[in-house]
Amino acid sequence: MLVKLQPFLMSPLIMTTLLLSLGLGTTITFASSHWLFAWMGLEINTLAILPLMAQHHHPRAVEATTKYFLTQATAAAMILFASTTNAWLTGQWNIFQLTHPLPLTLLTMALALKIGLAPLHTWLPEVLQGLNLTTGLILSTWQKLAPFALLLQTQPMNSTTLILLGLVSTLVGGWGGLNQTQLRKVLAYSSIAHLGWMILVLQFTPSLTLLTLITYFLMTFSTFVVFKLNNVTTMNALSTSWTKSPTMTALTPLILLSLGGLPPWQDLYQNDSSFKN
Amino acid sequence: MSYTMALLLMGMVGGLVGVASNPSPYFGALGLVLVSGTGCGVLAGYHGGFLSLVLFLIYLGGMLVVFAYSAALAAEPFPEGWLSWTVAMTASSYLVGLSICWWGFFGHTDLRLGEGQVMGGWGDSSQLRGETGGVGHMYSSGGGGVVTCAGGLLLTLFVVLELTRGLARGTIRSV
Repeated sequence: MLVKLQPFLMSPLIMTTLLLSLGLGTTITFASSHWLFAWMGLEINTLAILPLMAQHHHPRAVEATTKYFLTQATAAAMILFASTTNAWLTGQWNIFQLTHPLPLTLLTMALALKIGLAPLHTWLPEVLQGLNLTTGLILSTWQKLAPFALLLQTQPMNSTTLILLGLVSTLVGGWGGLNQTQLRKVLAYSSIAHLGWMILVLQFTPSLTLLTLITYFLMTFSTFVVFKLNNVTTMNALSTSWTKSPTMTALTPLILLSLGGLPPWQDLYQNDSSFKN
Repeated sequence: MSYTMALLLMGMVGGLVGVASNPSPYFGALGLVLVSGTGCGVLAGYHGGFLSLVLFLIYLGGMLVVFAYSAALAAEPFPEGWLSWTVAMTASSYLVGLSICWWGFFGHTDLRLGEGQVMGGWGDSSQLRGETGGVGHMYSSGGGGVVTCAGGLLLTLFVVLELTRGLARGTIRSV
């Protein structure tokens, strides 16, 4: 007897619980001013996406899930360690008053690992390559929000660390994306490069960082959705997409150009104003 | 007290090296038991006796589960202990690195182990210690935190069940 493959292997109740928890984790981190709750939100976030990543039980997806779990657990443990060290040294748990350089640097590195900034980026292309496009979309947009909120909230940071992280990320992101044939890897490297820009601007104008983050989300969302609609994951498959959906293929370069920071759209303006600042 | 603390701290670092040097899961779990036991001892040494006992009970339960699962899932005919060549090499390189760091950072300072008091008193005129008062606080004004923690643990249970259920599709286990 032929077994019909179910597109949804997960029970709808579990799916709902997980998706709601995914939202809840980010919300807890957003709402907290206490390190313990910020950490808890990040952990809930990580835990909730794991079954979504591995839902098709493909070995490659499970491998990506394992890699993601190990990286995020390490980063979360580092965040917890940094915040307890901070509490020990300064006697308070407030997010906005991270003053001692040791926990500050530890926290910056941990958050860099969490959002995939170079030189702590190597997990990101591998994980993204193992996922389907929808989960990859969640991973490269929603999952970045909570760590980024923490980065924005711990404002006066070690500028050398930030500049180094930002520079290495933009370079690695740019170079790594060259000569790739897999679209998801290109997207991962694009994410690394964009986050590098954001980290560079962070200490000068945080509002600009936030604006860049939002426009990056818009652009990467559209790119993922275009790939999803065309059902492509490689450059080769993408090259025949004009037969499927000619209009969308004609419009896609607009997104790609703005991802690259070229006219006609928003990102050019931001990179430009990053430099001016 | 200083000697006991030194012994406990060395046991803890030794246990961490034992876990991090990547032996078979049997021995890794044993290293974890060593780390958690000595870690609780260190906590007790810093005047946190109640907290240390609670933590030890939790660790004991967790370690039991971890040990049982790692023994059941990764049973090997020839497990690699710490005397196996690769594991011994990793462990000794960790130990050498740790000693270098130790001498570099603390070689010239006089560490007074076990003399600090992390767990302070609970105000000036209180009979309660800091940790016991903290437990009281956890169930009154910290109720939201307890509920969030419990919710997170419940979510973890669902996540583990969802990731491991299904006999036919074992990517992790070798069927």
